[in-house]
Amino acid sequence: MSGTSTQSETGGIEARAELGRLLSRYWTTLLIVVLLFVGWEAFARITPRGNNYFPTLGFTVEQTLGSSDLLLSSLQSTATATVLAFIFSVLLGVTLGVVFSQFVTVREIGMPVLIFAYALPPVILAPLFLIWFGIGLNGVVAFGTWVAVFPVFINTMTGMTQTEEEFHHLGEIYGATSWQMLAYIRIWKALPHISAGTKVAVQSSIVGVIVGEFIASGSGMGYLIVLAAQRAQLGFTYGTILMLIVFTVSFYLVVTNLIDYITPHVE
Amino acid sequence: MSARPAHRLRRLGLPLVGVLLVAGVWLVATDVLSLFGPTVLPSPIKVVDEFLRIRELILDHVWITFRAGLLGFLLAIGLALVTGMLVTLNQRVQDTLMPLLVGGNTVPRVAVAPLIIFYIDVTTFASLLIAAWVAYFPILINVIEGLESTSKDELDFLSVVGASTWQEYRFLKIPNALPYIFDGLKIGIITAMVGAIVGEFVASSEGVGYLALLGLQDSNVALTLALVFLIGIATTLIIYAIYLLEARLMFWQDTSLFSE
Amino acid sequence: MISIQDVSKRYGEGEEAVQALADINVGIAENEFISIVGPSGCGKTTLLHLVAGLLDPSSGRIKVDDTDVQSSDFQKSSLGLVFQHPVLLEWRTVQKNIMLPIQIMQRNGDLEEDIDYYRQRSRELIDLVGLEGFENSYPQELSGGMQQRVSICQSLVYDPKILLMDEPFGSLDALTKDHLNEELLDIWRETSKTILFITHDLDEAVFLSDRVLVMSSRPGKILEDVHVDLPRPRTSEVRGSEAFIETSSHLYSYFR
Repeated sequence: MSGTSTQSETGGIEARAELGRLLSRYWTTLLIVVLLFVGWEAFARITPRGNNYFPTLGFTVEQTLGSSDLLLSSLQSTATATVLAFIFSVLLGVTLGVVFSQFVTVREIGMPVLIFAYALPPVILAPLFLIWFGIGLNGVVAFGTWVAVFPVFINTMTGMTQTEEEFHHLGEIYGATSWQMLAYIRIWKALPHISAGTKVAVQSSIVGVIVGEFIASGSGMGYLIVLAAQRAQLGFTYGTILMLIVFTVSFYLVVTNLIDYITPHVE
Repeated sequence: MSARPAHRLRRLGLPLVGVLLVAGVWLVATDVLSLFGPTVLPSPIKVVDEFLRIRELILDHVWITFRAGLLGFLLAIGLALVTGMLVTLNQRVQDTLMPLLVGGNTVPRVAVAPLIIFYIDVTTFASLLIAAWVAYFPILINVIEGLESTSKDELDFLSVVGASTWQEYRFLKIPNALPYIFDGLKIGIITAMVGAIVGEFVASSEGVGYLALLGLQDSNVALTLALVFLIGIATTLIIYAIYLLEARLMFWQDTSLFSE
Repeated sequence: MISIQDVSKRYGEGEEAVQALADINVGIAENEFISIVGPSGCGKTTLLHLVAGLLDPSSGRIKVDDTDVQSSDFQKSSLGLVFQHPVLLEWRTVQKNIMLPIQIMQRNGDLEEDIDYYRQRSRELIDLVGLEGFENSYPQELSGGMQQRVSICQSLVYDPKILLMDEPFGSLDALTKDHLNEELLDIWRETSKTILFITHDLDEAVFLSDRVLVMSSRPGKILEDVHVDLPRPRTSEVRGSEAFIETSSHLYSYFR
């Protein structure tokens, strides 16, 4: 082997091969996406009410780029809030999940409250969180955390309470204490569930943040979408929504791959 | 539940203890100890008072939201069942569309609420559509997952005896899909309500979302809490109804309130 | 009755292709009991699925009484397939599960008699396998052995000429397996079917069959067509006889 240049060459070749594989697998999907954009453009040109009712692709790009500063600062605001909400929700959700699963009585007492909290459409609490934590980043992050805590919490609980009987017997034979069982066995067995819950939390935290931004008259992409639609700046509205989709998918892919990398994948 | 009386008492009793405990702690913390100011956490008595004061108004608006959410939910179910079956008819079609459906389920679908409200003037109808739009994807994905859950052996067996595609669906795929579909429904109703309320947040002229925003403006926590409880109870009741239907329909399985 | 001519099966293309079966040539006469044995993954199930018409051969043809199993003329009701694990629908009673093929075939016009005839037949089969009283039970209420018996009834209810069985007793304990072996021979004797039976258990193969096809793996080929020279009817005593031990040792020698 002759050193770094060969390695980066091989790396490049592998990456291209991987890309080729992905393309051959998903080309029909990409085709549909392209067709959707074509349909969009066609529809935009046909509707008589013009670009401020249904913008062409060109107009969308143009109007969005025209306010790109605003868009970027809003993106930064939303991204910050989302990442914070996500991290808090995972920490809080796993902790609560572990605690709740350790004490059966606590679980059974808390059950109806839990069921109610699970059934409650989380967004109705958004105004409440804004009253409590203030209209601004704090409130938005707090609410995003609340929405995202549930999938993590519920999945952690499910994972922690599901260790099969055989492992309990094994623990008994070894004389393991409750806490040893927890640390050595149960948390690891719960990991696939926890990682699944965390992936859902990615989506939930974004939804929470966006809804918070809808009603907190401040910053962020949620606020921007409302504003742009109110001012009938349709190109900018669509542009912002598309940007949000890009952000969401990127964030989701990053976090998912990170989680899969860290935790042993058991499916 | 066929548990022994003592066990059954524990199962009903403990949760009841939980509710009473939470209510009790709340009461004590606010009325007795005055730990929180009225704009942070009012006493439960204040919440009830607030509700009684304007109960007709509140109930009117709750009904508006509830109706929009429920109708949106039903629309989403209908569409999801039909498109789910169509998509699973052809493997190629399914493979092509799945990434888009998963993607659609991942992105915050509520983000288009302002757009829908822009296009549709009638607020209730807009809320209904947003509710349907938001709930459609998770339900659809569950429908597809359910229809795909049939084992190869079962499909092979039907193939050997010469079953048609429709017979495959009727005897095998649809019954096998039921557990998944019901899971999707429970998620779907919550999501639909989210959609309806968000629509009201943005359009802001009627419904629970509108009232909650008024509460936000006046820092009227009592009103907001009253709305929370009412919507929460309404949704819980629907989920319970879904659970009962599920237990009835899938008599061959043990069902739990929520499986995850 | 069954003729498998020059059959091979390949999966995939080019470099990544897997040759599952190669040059399979077998003739099976009416009312014969044939077992197929071989190491895991040697293509036994693939061969069975080819005969069942679930898969297309890459080359060659499989015919039953001169009709290609792939052709649209082929009567679905002449074949039955029993899987390793019972394929019972949990929301149907035992009898309704047995009637499932009838429900399907009747709609498609594959049946000769009317529904009452088959309903009566399903009851007879339930009695035949010793499950009287369980007609209205659900599969979850039955043991593994009982469920497998129901599967067998399911495949027999429309009276197929040929019964294909893919390690049907593989997941059962030894005692139940032996018992079901004897029951299967009784059914076979009474109904004069042609049976193609896959198993891992070499003793089971010798006990049940007229001939045992020994297969190799990757690619699957037939190494030998062993003739089992034991008298019928076969009872449990025959398992200790010299001829039995000789034949089964011969089979074992392939897998050392």
